[in-house]
Amino acid sequence: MSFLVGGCSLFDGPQSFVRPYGPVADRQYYLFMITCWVTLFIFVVVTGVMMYAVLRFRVKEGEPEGELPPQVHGNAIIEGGLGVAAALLLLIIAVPTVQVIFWQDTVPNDYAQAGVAALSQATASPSASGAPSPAPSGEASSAPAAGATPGVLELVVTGHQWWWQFDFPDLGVTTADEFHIPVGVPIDIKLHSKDVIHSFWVPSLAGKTDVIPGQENHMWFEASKPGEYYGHCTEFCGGSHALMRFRCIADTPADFAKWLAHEKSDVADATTLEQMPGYKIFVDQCARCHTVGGTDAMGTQCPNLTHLKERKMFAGEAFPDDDKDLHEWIHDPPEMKPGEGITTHDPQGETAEIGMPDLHLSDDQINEVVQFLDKLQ
Amino acid sequence: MSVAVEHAGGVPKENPYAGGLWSWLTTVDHKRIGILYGVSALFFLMVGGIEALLIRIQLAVPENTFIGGEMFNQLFTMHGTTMIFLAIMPMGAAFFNFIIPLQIGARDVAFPRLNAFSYWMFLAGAIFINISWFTGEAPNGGWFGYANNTEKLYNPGHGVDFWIFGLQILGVASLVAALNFLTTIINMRAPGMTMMRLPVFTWMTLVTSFLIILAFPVITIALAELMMDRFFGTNFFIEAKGGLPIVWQHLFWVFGHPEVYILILPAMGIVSEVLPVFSKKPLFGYPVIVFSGVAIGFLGFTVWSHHMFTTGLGAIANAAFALTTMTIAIPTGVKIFNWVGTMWGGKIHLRAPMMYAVGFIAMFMMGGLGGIMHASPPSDAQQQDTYFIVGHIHYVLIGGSLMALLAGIHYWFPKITGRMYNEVRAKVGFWLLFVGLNLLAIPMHLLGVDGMPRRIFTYADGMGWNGLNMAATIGAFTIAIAVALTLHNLGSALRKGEVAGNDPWDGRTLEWMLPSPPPVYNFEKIPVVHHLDDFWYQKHPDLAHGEAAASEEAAHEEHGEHEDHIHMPPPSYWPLVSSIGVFVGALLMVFAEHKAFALIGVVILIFGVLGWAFEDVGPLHEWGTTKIENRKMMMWAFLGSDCMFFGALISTYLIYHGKSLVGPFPKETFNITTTSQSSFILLMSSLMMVLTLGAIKAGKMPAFRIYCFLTALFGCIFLGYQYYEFSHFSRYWLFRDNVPVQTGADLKLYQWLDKEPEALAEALRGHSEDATNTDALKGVPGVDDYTKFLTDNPDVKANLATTSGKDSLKEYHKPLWLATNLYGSTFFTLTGTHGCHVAIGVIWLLTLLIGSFKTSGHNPIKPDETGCLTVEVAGLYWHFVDIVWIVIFTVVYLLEYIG
Repeated sequence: MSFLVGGCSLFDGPQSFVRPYGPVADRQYYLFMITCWVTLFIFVVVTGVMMYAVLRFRVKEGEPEGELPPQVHGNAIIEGGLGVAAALLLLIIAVPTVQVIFWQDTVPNDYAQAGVAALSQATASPSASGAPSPAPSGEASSAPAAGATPGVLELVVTGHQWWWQFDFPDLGVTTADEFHIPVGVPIDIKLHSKDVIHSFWVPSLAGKTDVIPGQENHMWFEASKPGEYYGHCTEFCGGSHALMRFRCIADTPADFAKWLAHEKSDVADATTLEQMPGYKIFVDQCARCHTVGGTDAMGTQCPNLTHLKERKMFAGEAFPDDDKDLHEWIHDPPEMKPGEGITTHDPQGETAEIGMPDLHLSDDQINEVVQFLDKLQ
Repeated sequence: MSVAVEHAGGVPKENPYAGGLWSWLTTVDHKRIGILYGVSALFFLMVGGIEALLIRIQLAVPENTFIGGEMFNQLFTMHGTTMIFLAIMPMGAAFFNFIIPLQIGARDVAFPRLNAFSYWMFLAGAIFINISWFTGEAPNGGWFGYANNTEKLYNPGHGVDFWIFGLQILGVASLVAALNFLTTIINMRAPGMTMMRLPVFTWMTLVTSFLIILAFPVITIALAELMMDRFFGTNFFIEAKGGLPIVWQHLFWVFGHPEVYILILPAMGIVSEVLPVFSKKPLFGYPVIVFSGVAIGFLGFTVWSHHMFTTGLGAIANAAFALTTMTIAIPTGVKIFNWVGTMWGGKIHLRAPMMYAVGFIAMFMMGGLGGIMHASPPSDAQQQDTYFIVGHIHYVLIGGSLMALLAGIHYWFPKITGRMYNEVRAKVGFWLLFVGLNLLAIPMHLLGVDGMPRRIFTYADGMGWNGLNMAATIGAFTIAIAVALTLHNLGSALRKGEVAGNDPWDGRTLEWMLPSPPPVYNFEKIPVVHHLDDFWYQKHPDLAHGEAAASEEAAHEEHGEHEDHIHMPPPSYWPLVSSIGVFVGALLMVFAEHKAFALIGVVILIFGVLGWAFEDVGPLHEWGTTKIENRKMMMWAFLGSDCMFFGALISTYLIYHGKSLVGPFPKETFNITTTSQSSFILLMSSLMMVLTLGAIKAGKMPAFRIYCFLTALFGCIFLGYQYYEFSHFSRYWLFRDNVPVQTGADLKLYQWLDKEPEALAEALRGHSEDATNTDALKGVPGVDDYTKFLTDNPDVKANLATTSGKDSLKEYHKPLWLATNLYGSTFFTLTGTHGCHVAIGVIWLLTLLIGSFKTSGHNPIKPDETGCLTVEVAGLYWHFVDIVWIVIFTVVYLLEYIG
């Protein structure tokens, strides 16, 4: 199939892993192509010989039987030789495999050093670069915290049933389902799970690493080109595994700095928002789990909604971020995503609340909440 | 009652399959059981196929709402489980049953009734797991059932329970069958049938049996631990209590990867039979093919973590498992080269079985080469859990296993039924399957490259997946048509097919010298084998390479010559009764409000087993090829299996050692003196067992009875100690800090606190929060003991006084049980399982003791060869259980006191 991969539009989908846009995905693609060519070679040669044998030595039905063919029982040299040949072909795969395994294990120094300049530009205060400055957000420092590797940006990914939480601890930013990274900066990723096993995968940037409760996993990637890269949970994680998507948006350092400043800010014009009828419902019903920065809603179990409308989709990138879908979602989450909104018990008496519950709001109430959410730019 | 068969010679006069439903329910004939397996497997192939079609309809177009997400999750779970455990594995078992005894020149398997039990257990498990559809809650955690997604907290329905118990029942069926076939193949061979003259299919069945025996105990333990978590609140995979979900994955794949070879090795065996026959040439490199199969089986246990490359095992582990995985490609490749070598220079007859065999090689290569692609962890990180893997597994299981099994069906159908199918329709079926498979699996690979994750019930438009998914759906329907056509062709051949004759293919192995279908007793006279492919050389004596030595000839002379009557085992319904017991027990376990109702099933099972044990089956089995009696050989194989069983349990204990988040910890609950005493007594019971066997061998029955009784008694004493440990000193930490506090008063207090914590809490609420203020507790039952305890233990009193009394008191006296912490879960499960083994041993010894008093009836224990052997087999088990205890005593107890 490898001959197809090169220029075929078949693989131009947004989640294709043969369209790498970063050094890790590049090397994995390169290994993939080696395995493609080696196995294709074996397949063509062996099936070729076999088909030749079948056609050449075939006896047509009804032909006279004739004598028996030579009764050959084996040939040690041929058998041994082919075994050795198979082993040698495997070495072509094995050697670069081991090299890449160790190369991709941690961020290589040269990538970290190369990232220093881009990272400082990406985390610089936007006012310094002349960009309009949104409301400042208190004490969060724009410089990476001490102890972090210079030139490497740390990202903590937390898997939930069925959405993703993204924290940049050095930048003081928490978001959900969509996150931005600066191009040219290695992103060092720590993976946590709040419930079951998930798997974090952005094919254009890197292969997946599982997100396992009680175990901190690591991976890293870097984007070499600005763009929107799709990701998906790739470990079956229950009812709505199919709707646990996410998106990584790689920006130029300057664009990232703008996003960062906006993301760090609280919601604009909190006092006006607090007058909205939807706000009260939101604080009563939603604030236990959700945060809207600058208001009384400070729950942390569920997606941070401060800049909800800045994202394109919501609820694990399952639905477009428009009024109609938000309304339907709040109206009946389990209908929209199987498995949402149930409370379970285990034999030890532990309970778990999975996903977004049906809050039993009236249509009018939902409309008011949606109007409020519309303001969360 | 034994069936006496007259020496008639030639073709059987009557249909060997004659008889009504009852004759099938009670059959112990390996051929009938093979047919039952085959028909059931084809039925479940259709069930799994329908599930597949529903899945493919749902995925044909984006954002489809044909079936909901929940139904989809149930369907893919059941599709995988059904195809692997209920279709491919039993179809292999069908051929093991029907063909193996014929190929090795035997009249039946080593244990005919056990064989029937395997089938009925398989059917019980299959029905059990499918009953879940009618409750609306089919299993929905995937065929791999990854914890903690399958824990009660995340999967509260009954589906996973059905899956757990269903797989356990199926596991017993597979394990018992594997023990049976291992014994049969090693021990029931005809004279002259040396191991290196065994047909390759028989060889691969032997390797498969070893794999089942060593791999299934591990999944048994994993499932048992998950069941304990779900039903009894243990903490094996509960992250909040320190459990590690990754442990499930290790246990599952230590089973799961050998399982892949359990599915493919019989297929390789079938193809190795078909290719030489239709090429008119011997298999190219027979010894290499055999040893490659053995090597694949062995290496199959060293690669499980390649299913876990993305779980964060670390670079070194990933590199190591990548290399072992690639190593497996070498013996696999060698097999493929030798198959091609077999065809090369032959006279190839492209009949239906041969087309399937050639198709198998090509399609299995697609699967196998895909396997090499994801043997590279960095590359696999992109492929893992995408449709790339789904395409791979379907090449392996349809292109590999199913194609080879269809080759086998078309190859042996005339032997099994006596009739021939329509060749043209069979070939059309092949081509449809071939096209359908590629139309399914190539798009699946491309979808994987395009980033489509597996196990998703819907996908967004605009991902570039639409056309490929539609193509895969069309491929799936093509496969369905192919299977339907093939089954129709075979079905109509049953009625209208031409009479096939004994040897329609010019076969090479012993089964082709028999009538089609073979008579009940298979071989009128047990053949004497001189060659690999012996039947071929009977037909072509001029080709025989090397004459059989005269001495070998003479040695075989006496065999089979002096048989006036052929004794076939009589039918029995006890295997069916026993499996019904298991089925009922499992059903009650899932549904009954009180789990103790499940004991009803156990009672039925015991009833069945006892009926079985005391049934008259006529003369006992002959001594086998190896001069080791069948039962003894099977016991050794079972002990190997049991090693893996305890290995998995002890591994779990060690992995979780020191990982408990709350106390008590092992040393606080141990009393090494007490346990040393009980260990010593158990060891002495082994000595008694040796004396028991010595006595019966010397013919001293009174001494035998005394020693046998003492062995059982020592076992009981050990169990008594264990009971005391479970109910007293471990439970109440009576030896905390290794200071015995086991005065009667203290114990009473602990028990009171354990049973009536509410009474204490109530008393404290009513009077004072201070648990040391015993004045306030006046009138509460047992408080005098409590007062005395505090007086005797001023440090405890001081400790209690400084903290919130009530909680601290409860904490201090918290009894240890399964749910307390990881230590409680692993300790009681491990030692309790061992205790069950001892208890079974005691019951076994007592039946021997009772049997020795019998003067008439069936199977009395007498100082003859049979009696000695019966005792020896029990002794093997007993010694093994003792050895396991030495390991447990060392690992669990003694290691606590080192360093």
